[in-house]
Amino acid sequence: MNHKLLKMKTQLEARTKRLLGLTACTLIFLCASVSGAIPVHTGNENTADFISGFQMGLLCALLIVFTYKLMTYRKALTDEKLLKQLYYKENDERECYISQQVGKSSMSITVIVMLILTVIAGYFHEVVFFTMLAATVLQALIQLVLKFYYTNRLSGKETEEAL
Amino acid sequence: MKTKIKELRKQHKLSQAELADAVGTTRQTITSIEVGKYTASLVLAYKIAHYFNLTIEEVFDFHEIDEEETL
Repeated sequence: MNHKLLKMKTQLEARTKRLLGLTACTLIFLCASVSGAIPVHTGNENTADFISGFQMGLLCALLIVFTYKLMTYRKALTDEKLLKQLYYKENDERECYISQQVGKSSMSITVIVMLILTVIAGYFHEVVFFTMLAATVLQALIQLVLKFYYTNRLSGKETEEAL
Repeated sequence: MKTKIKELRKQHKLSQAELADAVGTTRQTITSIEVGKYTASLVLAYKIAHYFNLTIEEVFDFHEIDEEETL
């Protein structure tokens, strides 16, 4: 087994441990939700039901995703051929390029849409306005920080000859 | 970008999956390169050419780039 596959194996083992932790937390939250141990605080009963239903649905979906990932990683850890296929899939240049393009467009589009929704929310509800504003500013800040980080990381230093 | 990968694969009786496995990529990427929807990186182009014991220029057609006017 070459060093890249060995490194991938180590990464998968670490991911499996994190996923097990996440799955356990999700299960705890789901049980708490179902048992009503963590109530939803809202004045409207219909809204409370909707929020509760959304939370349970999301937690169930997360459980399914985590279980699927755990099974995939366990199989890859025991079968070298599957490990190789997983390595190729995760490091495939075309897939990485697609992710890059998606990330580039979706971040900008999301910030613009959230800004518009923030303005609209301001006409109707104070709490929603400030929540949307905080989320928009956070997203824009994250985008800016990441842009500076990657620009610095991928920039070469000017040499004396170049100057 | 046009390539001769499909012809070379048929000459060597290789499937897309086998070539993908040999050069360390996915079958979908090989398909995309063959139909010209995706341009391979320098590293991948080198791996593919090297696999067939050819140069990059013999596998990938750079005439379109030569004919393009520089801005």
